[in-house]
Order: sequence, then structure tokens, then C-alpha cells
Amino acid sequence: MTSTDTAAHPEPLSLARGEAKLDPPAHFGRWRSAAPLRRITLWNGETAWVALSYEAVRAVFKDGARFRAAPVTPGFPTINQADSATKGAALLPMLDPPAHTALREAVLREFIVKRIESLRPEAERIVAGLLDAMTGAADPVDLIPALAAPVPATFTCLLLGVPLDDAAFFAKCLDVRFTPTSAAEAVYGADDRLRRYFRDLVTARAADPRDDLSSRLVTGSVLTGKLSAEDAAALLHVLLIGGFDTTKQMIALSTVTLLGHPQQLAELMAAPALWRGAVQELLRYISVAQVERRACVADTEVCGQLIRAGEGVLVLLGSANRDPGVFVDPDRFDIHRRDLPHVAFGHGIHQCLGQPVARMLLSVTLPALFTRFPRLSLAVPLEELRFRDDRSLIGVSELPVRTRP
Amino acid sequence: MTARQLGTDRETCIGSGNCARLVPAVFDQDEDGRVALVPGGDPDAAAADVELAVAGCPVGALWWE
Repeated sequence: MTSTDTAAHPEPLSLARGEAKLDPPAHFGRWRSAAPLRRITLWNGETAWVALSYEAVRAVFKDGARFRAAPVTPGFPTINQADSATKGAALLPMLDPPAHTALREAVLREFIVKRIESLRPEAERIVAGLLDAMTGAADPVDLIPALAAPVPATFTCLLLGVPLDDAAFFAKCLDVRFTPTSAAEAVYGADDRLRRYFRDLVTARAADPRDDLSSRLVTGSVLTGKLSAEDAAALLHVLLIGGFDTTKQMIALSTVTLLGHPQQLAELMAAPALWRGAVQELLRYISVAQVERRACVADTEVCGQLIRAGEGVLVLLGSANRDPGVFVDPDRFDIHRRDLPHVAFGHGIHQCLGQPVARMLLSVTLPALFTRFPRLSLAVPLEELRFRDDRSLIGVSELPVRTRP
Repeated sequence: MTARQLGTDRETCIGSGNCARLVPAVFDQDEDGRVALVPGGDPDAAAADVELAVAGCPVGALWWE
């Protein structure tokens, strides 16, 4: 095939993983060693670029003026049907400045590292309660409903100041919203139920403020006229999305990863100060969010490749995090790594706002889990875990473990 | 040889908190969440970590030269 043919009919983008489920698809590595960016064909027949190298991924993320996050931008790429149904969405990660700036600013102080760290005792209490319940349960235990899902769900409810009982409603809406095959009407419906929920919450907190993030957002930004009630509701909505599934899958896949590296796990249990580096490495190695989307609005050269206005770019975070030009022996899990910072939380102005929460929850949950159950093991072979790799967020739907030998 | 000057751009900063997490002896966050230098903090005493923080800042709001 000549290069002209390749340009006219680029390969389709597959997100499917091989045997090594914790490694990004092997073709990402092959593509990345050929070029930092590559043209591919999307699920709907459109073409777009994929950014594969660490440098290209950081460059696209950092140039927010030319690579826009708003799905309404011409050429904006989508990765599946459910994804394409949310093109009209105006949530924080899908906004460009200045709208993005004002919204992010309104909650920035809520995510100060020290502030989140001060909530560590709350997280420890949540985790201890869940581990108590696991101690009383018969093996095998599914770690997803037992621990991985409720830790971030409970903490997010606590942070936002909403009833813990609403977590099930949130989980149901988000499941419809992110299942790749969900019909457009179902996605709209789920989004709409969440939108109404948060609009009602804003109204309720305006009338009767409490000591929680939602109330501070309403009194600090809505009642002062800085943000509309609609904007505040959308912001709370995205804080929910951001905190739920990402951290759930990080807890599950971190457990799988650590069980697969018993020597490093033993080191961590002997020297808890190492957990900090371990969490950083787990974030890089697993990279739960594998795809971000941008659309180019002005011809731009990235790593020597011209990207034209109107072309879409899928930013492959997991590929950048395994770039051998940046990470020594990148496919090796190594809690002692001292390489450049990973891009698991993105880069540029959209870098994850909730990252201190994710780090804190992981650094509370994982040591507590392995301290309580030192003989923890997978109840099924790793290759039999049903691995979800067809959406922007990777993960497992079940994680059966044995808490005792 | 003159010592390197550590610089921050509060306007560019998005409050990711990466620097404050990585080198709390040198970087802090003000009440708005934006970068603030710790008074009397010595970047040379944690040079490797400060360099990582500068390289890793998501918006290039830090420099040390």
C-alpha cells in the first residue's frame, strides 16, 4: 500500500486490548514508534488524528486556543454512539475559555490539596466501614460493589452535600450515559435526569444553605451573580461524573495491579511512605481515561505534523504514559519511578480538577484494604476478568476476590 | 554563578496543586487555590523535585532559571 492510499483510507481506531489487559492496545505502541500522530478512521467513518507520543499529547492539550474542547467545534471526533449523542453538552471539560475559566474558578478553592487532605479522616471512616462489611461476608467478594464503587460514591455525595441514598440513582444514570451502545434518547434522558437533579439541588441550597460544596457554590457564585443557576447545576453535575467511575476503576485496577506485583506490594506494606510514589505509578500504569477529544480550529504543526483547522484529534493518554522516550522501560510497573509526571489526569487547562481527591482516596483505600486482608487474592484468573475497553474509560465490571486463603 | 530564580505566574495557574503536592516545602496554594511560594522555601534544597514540578506544571506557570 502506498502512503497515498494510507492517507485516503486510514486504519480504523480499535481500543481493544490484547491478552495483557493492563497494557494499552499493542498497536498504539507500534503506531507511536512510527509517528507521534497518525490518521485513523472513526466508528462513524469520519477520519481524525490520534496523538500518541507524550510530547504530542502534551502539545495538543496545552494549546487550548487551537485545539478546542467544545464538542460543537467543526471536526470534533467521537468514539461511539453514546459519545456522539452528547455533542451538545456544555459541561466543564467540554468548554473553552472564557466560559471554562469562570466555571473552574468557582470551585477551584474546594479542591486545594490541603483542603482535600484534611478530609482524609472522613475517607478513612468510609473505607473502614466497608472493610468491616467485607470481613463479615463469605468469599468470594466482588470488590466493585463492596469497596471500589462505594468509596468514591460515598465521598462524592459527602463532598457535594447530597444524601448517600442518591448514589444508586447517580450510578444508574451514569451507566446509561457511558454505555457505548446506549441509544441517543436514553443518553439524553439520563443526562436530563441528572440536570434536573442538580437544578433542584441549587434551588434547595439557595433557599437553605448548609456547610457543603454545593451551598458554598450557590452562595459564593449564584447568589452573587457570578454564575447562573444553570451553570452551577452543570458544574455540580460534572463533579459527580468526574468523581464516580474514574476512581472506582482506579481502586479496582490498582488492586489487580498490586496483586500482580507481590514483591512491590510487600515493600509498600513494610514502608508505607512508599504509597505516595505507588499511587502516582498506578495512575500512570493504568491510565483509566484512555481517550480525550479535541478539534483543531487553526492549522497547527504538532511534532512536525501539520494538523488542519476542522480536523479532530483523539488524545491517547495511556499511549503517552507508556512512551519509552519519557518513561524508562515504560511497560514495567515500578513504584520507585522518578520519570517526568504522567498525563493520566490530562494536561493544560482541563487537567483533572478532582485529582487531589483521587490521590487521597487511593492512598487511603489501598493500604487499608491490604492491611485488613493481607492474604487477599483474585478469585478468578486475571485473563478471565471481563475487561471493558470499548469506551473512553477502561475498567472491569466485576472483580471477585478472596479475602482469606 | 548566580542562583536560579524561581518564578510563578498566578494568572496562568489553574490550581492543579501539582507543585504544592510534589514540593510542599517550596510551593503552596493560596486561598483561591493558585500557586504561592512558601516564604523562606529553598528550591535548591529540593532541586530534583522542583525541576519535576516545573516540568509537570500543566499550564507552564512555573519556571526556574
